[in-house]
Amino acid sequence: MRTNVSRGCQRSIAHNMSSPDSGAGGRTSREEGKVSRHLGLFHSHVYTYRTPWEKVAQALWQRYPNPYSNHVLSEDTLSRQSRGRRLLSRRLLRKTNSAPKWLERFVGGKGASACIVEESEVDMATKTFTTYTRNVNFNKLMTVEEKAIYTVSPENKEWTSCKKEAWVCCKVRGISLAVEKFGVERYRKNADTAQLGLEFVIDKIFAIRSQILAAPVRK
Amino acid sequence: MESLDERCTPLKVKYDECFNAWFRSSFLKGRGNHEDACGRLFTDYQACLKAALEREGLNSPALSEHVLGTDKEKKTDSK
Repeated sequence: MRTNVSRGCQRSIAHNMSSPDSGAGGRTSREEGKVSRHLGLFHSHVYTYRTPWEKVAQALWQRYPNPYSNHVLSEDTLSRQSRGRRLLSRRLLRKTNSAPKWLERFVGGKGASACIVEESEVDMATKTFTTYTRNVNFNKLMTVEEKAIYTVSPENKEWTSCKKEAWVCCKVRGISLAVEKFGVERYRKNADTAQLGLEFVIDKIFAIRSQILAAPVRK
Repeated sequence: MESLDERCTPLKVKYDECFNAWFRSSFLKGRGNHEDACGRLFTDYQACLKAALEREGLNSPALSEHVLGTDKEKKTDSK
């Protein structure tokens, strides 16, 4: 672990993660990186879904709506191209922008929604689903960028590992640390609900499909 | 899931159904082309969506900026 003293929001420092925790009893296990203060805050964690990568990949496209995604207002695909075994997509998500009272004057009060662009690449050659997500409004106050990589778990080829890294940065003098701390906390909560939402959708899609396949044929 | 403009939602839902079926039965099996499978539905949906983005004032260049796979991605220093 190192720290860096350069100024600006260009770089953040990770506290590295240790090896994934395989002792958890549920479908997922989780390892969290520490949060460090350096010109914006960095947060990282790893989830393991006890579901094959192909199923997680399908569920990622269908993850909204779910009971944990009430903050997601709309979802649109802005562009999509398949190039051989690669699929490149760009989506626009609109979410409610819940700010605490002290931040409301910076975000123009309650009600304005946050616009998030999600770029992604699915590569069948490496079985990797990568997303890069960033906010495109309110970014004078705060930028939140997340890179998530879903791959076949090194522990078990029937599982999927998801590594998420996030950078939260505020350039407004005087309030930057408070805003960044708020941003990281909100990011962590949203990442937890995103995980629950994805698990719910995996169950929904594949439980229903297996019921259909298992149902007796009526004549 | 709804589109940002409810008028586009029916076109989006049709496209999403096509896309999810194509992703499952072709792309994940290493074959098939998105344009051939769902191109027409995507074009219809995009025509509605582009107009909606204009109306909402959301057609900013930031939406089409490429970050993933470029030097603009945030990086961590430590390995």
